[in-house]
Amino acid sequence: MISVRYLSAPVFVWWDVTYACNLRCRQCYSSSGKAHPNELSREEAMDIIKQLAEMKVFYIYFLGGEPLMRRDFFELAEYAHECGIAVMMNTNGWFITPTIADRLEKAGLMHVRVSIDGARARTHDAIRGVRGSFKRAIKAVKILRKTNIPRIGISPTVLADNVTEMAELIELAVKLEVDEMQLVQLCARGRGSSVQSASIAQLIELRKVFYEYKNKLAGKLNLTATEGILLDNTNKKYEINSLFPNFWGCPAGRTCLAIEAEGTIQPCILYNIPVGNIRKSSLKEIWHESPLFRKMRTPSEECLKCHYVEFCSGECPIDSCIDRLFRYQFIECSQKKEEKSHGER
Amino acid sequence: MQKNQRVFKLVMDISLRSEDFGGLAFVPITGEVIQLNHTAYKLLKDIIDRKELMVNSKDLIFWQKLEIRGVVKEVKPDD
Repeated sequence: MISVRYLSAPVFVWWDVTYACNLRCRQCYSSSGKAHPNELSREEAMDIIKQLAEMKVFYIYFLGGEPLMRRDFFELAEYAHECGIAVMMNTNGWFITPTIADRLEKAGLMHVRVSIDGARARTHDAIRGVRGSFKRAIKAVKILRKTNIPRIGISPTVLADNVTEMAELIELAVKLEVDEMQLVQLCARGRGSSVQSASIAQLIELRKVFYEYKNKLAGKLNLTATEGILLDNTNKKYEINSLFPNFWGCPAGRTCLAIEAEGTIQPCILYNIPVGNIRKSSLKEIWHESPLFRKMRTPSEECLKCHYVEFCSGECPIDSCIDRLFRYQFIECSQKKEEKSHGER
Repeated sequence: MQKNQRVFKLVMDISLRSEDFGGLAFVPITGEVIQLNHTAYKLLKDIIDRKELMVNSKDLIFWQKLEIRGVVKEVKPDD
């Protein structure tokens, strides 16, 4: 067995700060709507931030639910900023007003990303489940662009219903003058497990569109996409974790982790297997001692022979992602052939 | 100070963390994380402590790479 190197602490954490949400997005991996009855209290959340600061975690990426539906969100963001942790967030944009945007700037947000799932209101609103949500999201981007928050972006989740609008959406991002845009693969968690993914042919076509625009817009728009969209089975090398030459493979459990609204710790938001709970153990203990993390840092000899290991590290969340291209390309994976879920392994 | 001495100045906030291989630098404004060997970690720690640093020719490429990323800039040495 060969152990893959891991860091002394995560570089960043994803944190679903609440499951409360005003929208009902079809693809929502956390099935958000109502807050979890046992969400972390303000004191518990503050303690997590303190632990993250002590571990020298560089940044927190607040997700949800809609983070702005958490009453103490600004307190948490401000405290993280005071502790020297950079703060980023994803929002559906509904609650963004000039006052809220100003508060986000004052709280020290470094990066705000607004979810936009279509180039047209009809598409976006149908996916997000609330009429008028497209208009609000576009307005939010325009308001946020007027602040001094360093990076404003947009991100769609690629689905069967919107994949053909991605080129148009990239054009919209340029028009909105955002700094970055990330195409996000569908995640088979929560409501995301019953929504229709784009077809393989559509995703292959999308990859062409992506690279065409990425090259064309270099220096103007930082266009990125998650692995399930970028993966090309004709390549043997992937640009995953390229900034960490000694940390090839999936970053989950090696350079990052995810915190759920009720304190469950997971390798990442896609990989829905708990490694602990912050109410029972410290983050430091979980990071260094979790058996699953240890397993993820030690690919089997069989996995090390596979050319995809440089992407998945032998413990990729393939069972969590229903992105069909993603699955299609892992078809030769022996773990998939055994048809075992991660929970069973 | 010699006339041909090159001096670099830190122009944005960065966070540093030591690791067994050296360390990591995080540039909050761009979100970039940079992996550092022990020498690079020490150089960055020095420039954070002193704000400006006289640079050895052997380290010049490292500083020029950071200059491209907008983290440091070359300044004229004080007479």
